[in-house]
Amino acid sequence: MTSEDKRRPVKINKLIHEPARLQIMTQLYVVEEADFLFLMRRTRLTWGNLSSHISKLEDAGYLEVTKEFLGKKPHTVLKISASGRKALEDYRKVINNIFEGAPG
Amino acid sequence: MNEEQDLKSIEQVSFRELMQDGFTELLMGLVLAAMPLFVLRPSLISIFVVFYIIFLPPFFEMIRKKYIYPRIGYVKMYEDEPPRVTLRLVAVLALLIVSVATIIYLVGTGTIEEDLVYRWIPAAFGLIMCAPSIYFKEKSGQNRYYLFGAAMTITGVVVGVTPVLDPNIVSPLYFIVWGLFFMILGLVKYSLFVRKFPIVDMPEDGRVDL
Repeated sequence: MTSEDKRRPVKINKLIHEPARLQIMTQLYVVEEADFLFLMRRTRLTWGNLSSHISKLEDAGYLEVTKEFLGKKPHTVLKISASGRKALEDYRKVINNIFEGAPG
Repeated sequence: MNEEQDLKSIEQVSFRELMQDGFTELLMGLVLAAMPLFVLRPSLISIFVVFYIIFLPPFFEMIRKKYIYPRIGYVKMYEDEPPRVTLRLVAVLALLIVSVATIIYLVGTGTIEEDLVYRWIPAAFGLIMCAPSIYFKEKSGQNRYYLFGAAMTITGVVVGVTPVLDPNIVSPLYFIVWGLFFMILGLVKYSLFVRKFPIVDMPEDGRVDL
């Protein structure tokens, strides 16, 4: 990082920076796909809360949402998109840069 | 915090979620219990391929959809990339093929007794089972997966070095006992799983209003 870079304010992706959304993104980053119930259990978010965060991530193009039927019940399957994957990797780089060389 | 390690632990927890229904143990038990049939009658191997590899996994997936996913949700892990063809891999495979061909030749010419081969099949199989043992340990992060590879190898060696045991009986018995063990383990895990995780009644049917 150059001295010029250090003077610039850090640009953090606030959409991903929010803890619940970061949890959703990291969970979907390590698996190919998962459904709503699985994410609810892993993130310990309520249905409404999870739904709202997923909507925001989908609007940003970070998630791909597929609806199918399991028997007669609708079933929502979520997958991280290529841009979502890149956004999370960029976020990781930014956070790493912030703490790079920090003591402790 | 090492975030690579953290992502790895998230992945391992997801894998453990997938494994807790006991279906993998049940499938493994069914394969092991039927193994003596395929060793004694190699012509039955086509049944093995049709039934165990083609038919059984989709059947278990269908069962999972009905009984497992409504309890803990659905997750699909990334499929592992096939191993890169390296000189080491080629050398190992060549060594394996030469060893098997040599044993078949020596048995065919009567240089070594067929009984001796039967006697050591369990030990060889136990060693082979160390590979899935290590794989499951890596994927789940749980050291207990080392146990089944080690236990199958040790019992296989015990079968091999015990001269009083008739290899024609004890070798098939080795597979049947281990098969039954895994089937029982799978059923116990499934019954505990069903008790621990009731079906989640989601009034919204998991639908996301987007």
